[in-house]
Amino acid sequence: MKRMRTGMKIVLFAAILVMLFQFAVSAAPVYETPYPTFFYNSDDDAVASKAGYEPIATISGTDLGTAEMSYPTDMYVSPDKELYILDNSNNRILVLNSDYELVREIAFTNNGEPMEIGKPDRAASYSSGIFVDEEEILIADPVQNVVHIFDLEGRLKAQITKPTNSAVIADNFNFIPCKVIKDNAGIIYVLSYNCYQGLLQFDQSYNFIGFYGADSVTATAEVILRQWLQDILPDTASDRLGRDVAVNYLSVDIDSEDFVYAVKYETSIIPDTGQIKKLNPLGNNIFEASDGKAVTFGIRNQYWDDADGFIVSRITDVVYDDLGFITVIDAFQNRVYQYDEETNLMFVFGGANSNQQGNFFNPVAIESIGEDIIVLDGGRNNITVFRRTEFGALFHEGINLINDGMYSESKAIWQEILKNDSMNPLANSGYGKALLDEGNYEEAMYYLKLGDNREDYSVALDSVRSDVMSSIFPVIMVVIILAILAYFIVPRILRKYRKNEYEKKVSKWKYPFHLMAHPINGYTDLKFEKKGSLLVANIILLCFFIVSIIVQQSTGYLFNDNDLESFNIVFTFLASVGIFAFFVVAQWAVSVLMDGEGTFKEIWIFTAYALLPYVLLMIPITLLSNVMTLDQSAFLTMANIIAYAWTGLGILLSTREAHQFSMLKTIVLLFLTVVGMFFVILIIGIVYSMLARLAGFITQIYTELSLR
Amino acid sequence: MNKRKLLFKILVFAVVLCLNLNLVVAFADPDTSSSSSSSTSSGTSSSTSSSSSGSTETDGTTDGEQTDDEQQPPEDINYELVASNSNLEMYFDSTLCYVRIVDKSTGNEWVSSPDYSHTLSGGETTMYNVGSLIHYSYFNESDNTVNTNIRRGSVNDGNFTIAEIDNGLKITFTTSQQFVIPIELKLEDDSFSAAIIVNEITEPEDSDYRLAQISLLPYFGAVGPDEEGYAVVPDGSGAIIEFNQASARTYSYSQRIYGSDFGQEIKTQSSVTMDARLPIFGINKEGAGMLAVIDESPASASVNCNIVGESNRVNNAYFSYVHRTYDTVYINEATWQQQTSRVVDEDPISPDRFEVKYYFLEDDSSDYVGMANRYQQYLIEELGVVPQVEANESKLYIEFLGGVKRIKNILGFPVNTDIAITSFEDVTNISSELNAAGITDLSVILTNWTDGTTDFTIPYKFKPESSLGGKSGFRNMLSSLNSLGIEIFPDVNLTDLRNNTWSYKAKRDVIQSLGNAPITLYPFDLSTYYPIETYDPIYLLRADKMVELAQDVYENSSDYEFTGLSAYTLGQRMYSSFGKNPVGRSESEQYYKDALDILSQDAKMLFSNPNAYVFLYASDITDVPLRSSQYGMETQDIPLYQIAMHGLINYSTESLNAFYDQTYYKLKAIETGSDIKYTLGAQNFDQLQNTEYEYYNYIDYSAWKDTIIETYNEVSAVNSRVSDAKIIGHEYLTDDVVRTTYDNGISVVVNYSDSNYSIGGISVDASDYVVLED
Repeated sequence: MKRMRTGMKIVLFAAILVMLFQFAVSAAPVYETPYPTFFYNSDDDAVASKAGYEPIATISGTDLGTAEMSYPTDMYVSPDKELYILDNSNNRILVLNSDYELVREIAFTNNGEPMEIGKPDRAASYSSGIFVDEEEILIADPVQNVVHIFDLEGRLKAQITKPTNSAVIADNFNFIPCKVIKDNAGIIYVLSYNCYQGLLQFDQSYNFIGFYGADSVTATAEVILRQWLQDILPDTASDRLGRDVAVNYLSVDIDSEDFVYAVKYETSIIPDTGQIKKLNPLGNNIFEASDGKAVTFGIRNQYWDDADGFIVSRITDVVYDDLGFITVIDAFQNRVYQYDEETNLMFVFGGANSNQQGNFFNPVAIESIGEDIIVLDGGRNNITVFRRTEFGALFHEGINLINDGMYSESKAIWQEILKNDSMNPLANSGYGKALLDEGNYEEAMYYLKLGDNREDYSVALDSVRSDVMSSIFPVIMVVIILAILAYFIVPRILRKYRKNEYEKKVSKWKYPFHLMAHPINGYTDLKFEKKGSLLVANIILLCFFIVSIIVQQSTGYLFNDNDLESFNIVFTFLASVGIFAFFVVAQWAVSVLMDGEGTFKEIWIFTAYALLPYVLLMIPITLLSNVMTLDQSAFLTMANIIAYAWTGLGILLSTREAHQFSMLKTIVLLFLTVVGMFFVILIIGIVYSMLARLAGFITQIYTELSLR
Repeated sequence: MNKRKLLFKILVFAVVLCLNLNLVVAFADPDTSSSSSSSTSSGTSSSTSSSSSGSTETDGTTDGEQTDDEQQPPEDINYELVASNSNLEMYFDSTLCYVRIVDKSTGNEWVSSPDYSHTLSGGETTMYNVGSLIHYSYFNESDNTVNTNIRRGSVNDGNFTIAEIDNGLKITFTTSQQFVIPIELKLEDDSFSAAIIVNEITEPEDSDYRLAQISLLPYFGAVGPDEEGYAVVPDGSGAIIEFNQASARTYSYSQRIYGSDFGQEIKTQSSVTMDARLPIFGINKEGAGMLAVIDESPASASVNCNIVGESNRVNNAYFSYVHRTYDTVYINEATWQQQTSRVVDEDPISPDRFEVKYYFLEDDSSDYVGMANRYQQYLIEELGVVPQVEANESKLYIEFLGGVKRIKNILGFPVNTDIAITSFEDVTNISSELNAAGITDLSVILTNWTDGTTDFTIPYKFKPESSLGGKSGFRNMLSSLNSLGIEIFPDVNLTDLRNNTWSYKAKRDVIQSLGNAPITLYPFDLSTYYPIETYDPIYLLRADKMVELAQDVYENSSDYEFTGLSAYTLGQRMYSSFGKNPVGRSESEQYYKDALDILSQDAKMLFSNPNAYVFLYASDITDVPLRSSQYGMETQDIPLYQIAMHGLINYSTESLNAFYDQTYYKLKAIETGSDIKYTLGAQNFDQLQNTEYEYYNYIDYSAWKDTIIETYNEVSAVNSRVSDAKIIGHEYLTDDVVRTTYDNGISVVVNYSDSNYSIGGISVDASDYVVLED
């Protein structure tokens, strides 16, 4: 557990929070381009920023002095920087030089006879692909189900067809080549549409070797839930959920070191992560965020619109560009996203479906020549050339220096970028790293926090604290923990041999503390001697609420995942006291059915008393989180586990005593309580939906009446 | 981040669950199950869409879309001279309703319907289209738009009358839909004027047909497929649309004059477009030039241009008078289902008259520079604009962002707090520092400085915000700047309202849509293109409140000694109000002018990228754009706006620090004769995060100081030599080298390319410029 979760969080409030806090941006920023350019701030809100790329030309067939292109489907840049555009429906390849002038057109021949390649329909969910190297042109043809291998003059050399004599290829396997690449060793990788085993590998003599880069499905809770929902939902709704099968690729690219960049094929409209995989020669994905989670490519603040559904990204092509960055195209919102090797988002450019320059209709492929990014628009039959701006160049330089560990050299660059984009997280993080490198820790912390770079912030914090403090800190921790344990456990052990607990008088104010130390006998007393007090319980509950606020707002930056700005006391109240009440009501309802003895008041008091360990322990833990670095997070994790376990044990024992159940029955009861809470949420959802329909109906009548 | 992702996924499941519930219901009720998707609404929004939406029809009474290219018999045209003066002659064919103007000085002829119309492809449809003095569109019984032309609607049946008026004719058409549309054509001293007499338009009472738009002289100056020419449109800085483009992907351009109407709701906003701020267009046909200016009711118009391609057989440019609009109303059927329905404005508030003046240019000034200069002459002679510029002056404009509102947590309760970005003291300090560095022609604009403007409170009290220094701070600032000779323009935002005050309330005083609901403005999420509805909406104050408000501001501001006032939004935001007590768009323009009459009594006025109606009141204009929307058919951006303003009103670029490439924009300022502007702040920049002003991430004065001084010194060295001169030439020597010529003999050659350029033995370095003198 790296960061603390604050108290109990539950689905409904979470959902409401997400709906209410789609924060950010601008009334009327000025842009240099005919589309907005932006970056995501540390809250994933889009903020206007300066352009890293700008559109410099839109080039059609007529502009090149030849016939218009007709559904061009793919393009590739040859090693000598010529752009090969597969003008599919015209059965030709256009070759452009790096000044975007037509060098030649290639027609296809087979033994001197003209030949036709397959022409996929615009409506089909696959299209053809092209790859070019020094000696040959490879074309993946999904209509004729072959990969054509031409020489650079368009003369057919060979064809790769469906492998027949292989144990791993079933007879009913559909070989529908859509994209093709070749690595330095001459191995050909073919992407076959709807193939879940990965890419097909062929050796230099076109023999099938095996599959590459398949992705497995892990049975996470989410996958199981999805499967379950698919079973119970009508088809139309379950289609929206997508299918949980192994991944199926849509497009691929390869870099000079034979790393393969593959785009996952999205069958669903559900927002997704990890859409781009960087596969090493073993076929394993090495694109993962530092915390092991999949990286979200494309749009980050996904949005639900009543009329248009989910606003998400549909990434269709990727290029490992000449500058060493990963640039992808999103065909849902027609935008280009550029990432560095660490998958940090640097620039977003291009725009949706207007007739202005730099906006596309149906972007199908992306390539790069030098500093330029080229987008092929299969709908408008043209290419748009984006050129890196001065700002883009500066930013790239800074990123490259940081990724190479040359922090101090990058300082002046980040300073210049911050002058222009003072809130850019990467720039703040970069500048902070440079300051950290030169030993300016306090200032570094300010920028690293703005850049939301917790790892380096932790390092800076560590340096700011005195070395002595740092070295004795673990010792202090151990002492504190031992002292706490000793305070509670030692007297208990001693007393056990001394006196009968039942006779001991403990005031109602001290009783909750007594309970903490004696959970097993204590709750029995509570039950039979009526030592519980509603007043005390409610005071504990109030403390619980206050502690929830403190935990949420005052946990140290390194361990605090909450948006401190959006803190709202009402939500915190609902998420602490509200959940508590919810739990008590559900438990009472279930216990009545299970013949439990506990009254509502008892359950309320018992459960409140059980919260005391949490209330007491979380305050020192929260204080400690402000002086601890990530290296010492194990202490916090341990302390947290103690607090939660202690509380959990209290709840378990108090429930057992309240209802006088066996342990097994208690566990069943608690399980059913949680299920009960889930059902209540479901019912609230249904009621909400029905009320919303009713409200919609009334508004509709009102609107129609008012328009008469 | 990860938490949000998780929560989002949970939301997804919740949504799917509820969808499921809806779908279950929908099975029993098939009507509601169809999902609708619709993006933007609004009947006359700016666009260059080539395909019409499903609800627009052409009047296909006989032929529908003609595919036959058979040639039509030549028409028998009999022009008769109906008016003439020392400059122009006007001829008219009273059967076909064709008009022909002869410019006596150049001998150029301009006809409403080219003689070759019968030889064009497209058969009779094309011939009637091209041969029509006006086109009109109307809403039919199912609220769909039908486009048709007057030949088919009236002229062919002879349903029109012609009456003589002074120097011209009045033609009254009665169309087959029983609309009566009177048109006046007449000669004035140096122009030809065409007008729609709007207050005499009648529509049948017993019919469902309602008039939508009238296109005036759509083929006047049209350029045929075999001819050469281009149109000049006022998109942003201005743009050229080359005619007969081979590689165009779109063939139609249309923009609302003064920007799209805020009274029509916008659902999503994706691309960044510029607005048509000037009510003009120009045509250059085979070397002959013409400028069209809307003389009356420009706010009710749109400017259009078509080039040959798709269904267009001729290149043309024209104004349309927008009589009636529609809006799309979204009806929530259920939480996750929306239906749309069209609402037509039943009782539009119309101007009395819509008039366009056509000026014919000398052959040596028939390009866009000549057009811009002719417009400047129009502004001086017809509108009475007095030149505001001084010789040997080059201004530096600094806009200071005063304060912002930020939600802070106080004991867990969200509290709106004022954060000072630039206090009044900061303004004084920064201004005096720049002044001390030798920048004497300094003009300071102060935004977000009145009590509550940080949260859009109508500033009728003219009360300085206390967190910036309050009244005394404001007074001190004014007197310090006055003593240094620095002009200050405090900005008053008179249109945007979020917080109610006693005098101006959101419920009562704001504009409404056709659906009778108040218009709400939200910032748009750049990433999703949808409005961010977590902010409270901004409403727009009704234009008929503006005069009273201006009077309040004028009276309350008399407590302070200042000489300038800025009114950014009044120059930019043009809107109608529909719903109850509607206010028409042209009516709004008049209210604005009345308000400006009051505000400008004792103060110089400054505007930001304003519409043309402010020119009579403006001494300074900032943020004049340096590019157009760059629609696919626009072949070249031109500084049309700048040429029209140069030597007349002081103007500046947009804030240069909003851009990265300082060299490029410095050159751009020199090329277009623009003064330069920066937006600055002094403190608390990290507090801008998660506010509506988050995009001001480039305004740290301390970081920009040196750049500003350096750039200003360079730009002013050139601009001060030409500040009161007119631009008489602007030509592209190559794609990347531009020469601007002034009427005082100075010309500037700017080289944007990466290599040297040499002109007349003088070399211009890469990314540099030279000033040449005769």
